[in-house]
Amino acid sequence: MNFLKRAFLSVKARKGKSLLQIFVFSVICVLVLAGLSIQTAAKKSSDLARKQLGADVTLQVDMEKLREQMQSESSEDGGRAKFQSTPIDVEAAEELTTYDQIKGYNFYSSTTGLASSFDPIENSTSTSTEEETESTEGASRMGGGMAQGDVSLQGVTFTDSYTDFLDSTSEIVDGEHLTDEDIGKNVAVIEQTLAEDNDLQVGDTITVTNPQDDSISIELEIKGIYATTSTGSDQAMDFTAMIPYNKIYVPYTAASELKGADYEGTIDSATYYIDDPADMEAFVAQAKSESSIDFDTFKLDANDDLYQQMVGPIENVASFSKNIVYLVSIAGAIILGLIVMMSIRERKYEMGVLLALGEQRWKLAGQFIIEILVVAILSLGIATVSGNAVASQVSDQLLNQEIASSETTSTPESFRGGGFGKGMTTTAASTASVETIDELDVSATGKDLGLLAMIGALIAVISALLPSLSVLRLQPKTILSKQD
Amino acid sequence: MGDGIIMSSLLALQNISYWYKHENKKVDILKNINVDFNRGIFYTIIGPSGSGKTTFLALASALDVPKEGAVLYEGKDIKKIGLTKFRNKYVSIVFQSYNLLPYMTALQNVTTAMEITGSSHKNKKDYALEMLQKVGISAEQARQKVLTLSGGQQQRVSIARALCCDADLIVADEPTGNLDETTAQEIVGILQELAHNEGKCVVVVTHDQNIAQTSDVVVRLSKGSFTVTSNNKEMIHS
Repeated sequence: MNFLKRAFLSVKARKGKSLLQIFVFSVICVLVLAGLSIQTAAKKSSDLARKQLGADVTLQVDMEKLREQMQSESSEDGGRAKFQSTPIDVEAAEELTTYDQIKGYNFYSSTTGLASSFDPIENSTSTSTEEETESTEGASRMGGGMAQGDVSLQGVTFTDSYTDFLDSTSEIVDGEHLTDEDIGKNVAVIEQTLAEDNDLQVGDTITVTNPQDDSISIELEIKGIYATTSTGSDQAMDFTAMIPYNKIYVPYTAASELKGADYEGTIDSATYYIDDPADMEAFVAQAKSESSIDFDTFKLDANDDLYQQMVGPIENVASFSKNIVYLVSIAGAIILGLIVMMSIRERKYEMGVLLALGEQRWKLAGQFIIEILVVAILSLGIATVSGNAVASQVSDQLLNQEIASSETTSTPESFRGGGFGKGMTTTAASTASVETIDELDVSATGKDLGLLAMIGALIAVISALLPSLSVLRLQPKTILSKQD
Repeated sequence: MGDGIIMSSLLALQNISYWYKHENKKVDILKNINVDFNRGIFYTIIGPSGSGKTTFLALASALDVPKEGAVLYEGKDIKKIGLTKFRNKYVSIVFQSYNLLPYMTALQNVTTAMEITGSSHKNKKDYALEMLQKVGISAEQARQKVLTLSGGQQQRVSIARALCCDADLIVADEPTGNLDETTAQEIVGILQELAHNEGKCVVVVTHDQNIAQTSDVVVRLSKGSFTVTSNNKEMIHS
């Protein structure tokens, strides 16, 4: 192993050049390690975010296809296009709940009804209107002649995973949530204001009638009472049923029953909750290949907007840092290769002497590789010590830039320059319902260091081997006579 | 010459020719040379500048290959032995320009050569120091970087390096060129001793007529051809 000894002697003897190589190699290693650490941290953060957030997939009517179908039917009939709702078969929707990726689900069926045994909450303007149209017995009529109820019935499987309850707009104040155990039962969760106005309590019953067919009515036992902070929209105030206090949650079976016999065993839509957004595509693919759902009529809408919003900046940083790794590795190998090449060409004479002494060519190449590996090991040590600090600085800088950039691009044009647009409420102006990840816990892992060592070794071997090959093919006499 | 040394042909240059091209013209350096070198004999190769002495030595030590002909070591073409292996195991070279490794000490230069050639000496360092002292390098000088030594001292280190390897063939290109007369005589004495007492084949290229006179056989090169003269007919005949 004489060439090993020579390599160490050479590194020690050529202090200046060795220090220059250590400096260049350290810069390369620090940047590569920073890139790798940022990638790892970004992956860790996005994995965590993914698992925290989950994702949901909604099974609903494919409105695009429905519109096309309506248009083709209307052109055949020569009349105007008419919207016809297409309910989803519950059994088909239930098939998907058995898939591995699912952590929860909710089925929805909504309708309106006429409050028969109680008075709905009315706004100040609707009182006079209703007095004038007493003959309609509370049912208001839409432009198309469709009767509209004065309470809205939101059929669900679970109330606790309904959006209003999830985002704490609504909260149960008495009684219990609706669950899948209530399916088939005529129970309801009503709003506190409605309950107080009508002296209703948990255990009492209310009756709701179909606004189009007064022969269909259901009696609902109050299982829970909720309070809502929702104020509803201005337009909703024109319709009594749209007032938030008049929203009654019922099992989807009850809502379907009120809609009429045609809707028995059907729902409007279903939402499936998935643990990991990464499984979303697999879930949709499995549903399309295995379920009995007619995907010509219905579609599965994957929603990972929150996840994308949350991890967008860090994914951009990760992608950028990946490019840093590639760029620095290649540029570093070239720069280092040139330095080593110059050094090896200067050492032609030494190679000639050693070849004249009968040293084998592979051992000479080995000596140069060992020399640069010694430099690489020292540089790796420096990178390990300083890499975390550099990586943190770089990632903070990149992340801040990305966050600023994503905020700029996700804000509508009219928001810029200060105040909100005309008629914009503060609720509508909030651009995000989740906080973007604005911090990365960057620290070099063993895997990062292992990868860095591999990249470093590869750079070292390539940068030493290629230039030495050009010299090693020469005969010792050629080298030595040129030296003389 | 010591008793019991059996002289046999060690190295043979057979029909050797060497030339190079200059402005599309062939310039002959050596032309159809046939010389045998035997164990136990101290050879000198002399001739005017440009007569092909250094080329001759380069071919004999496998630093280069002839354009025509073959170099045989114990009857075997050195190309078949392998040029690197031949240089490693069978020949020691003393260069005119020393060719020492500048980042090493004198001692390290010698031990490095011993390690490369797989010297059989158990304590390489001690043997190297002994050889360095034999050529006039003190223990203190042996531990100095070679670049801090004078030209003459570097030449001694170069000679010690060749002596330390166990090769039967020692070739030297102007080994005493940078040495004072006394040291030069000492070095020549060592080379003679290696040939006569240890049965080595010593081939020295020189301009120095004194060295040529002390050698056993003189190979005179001129215009690509050669003549061989014996100073020690008794030994050659025996």
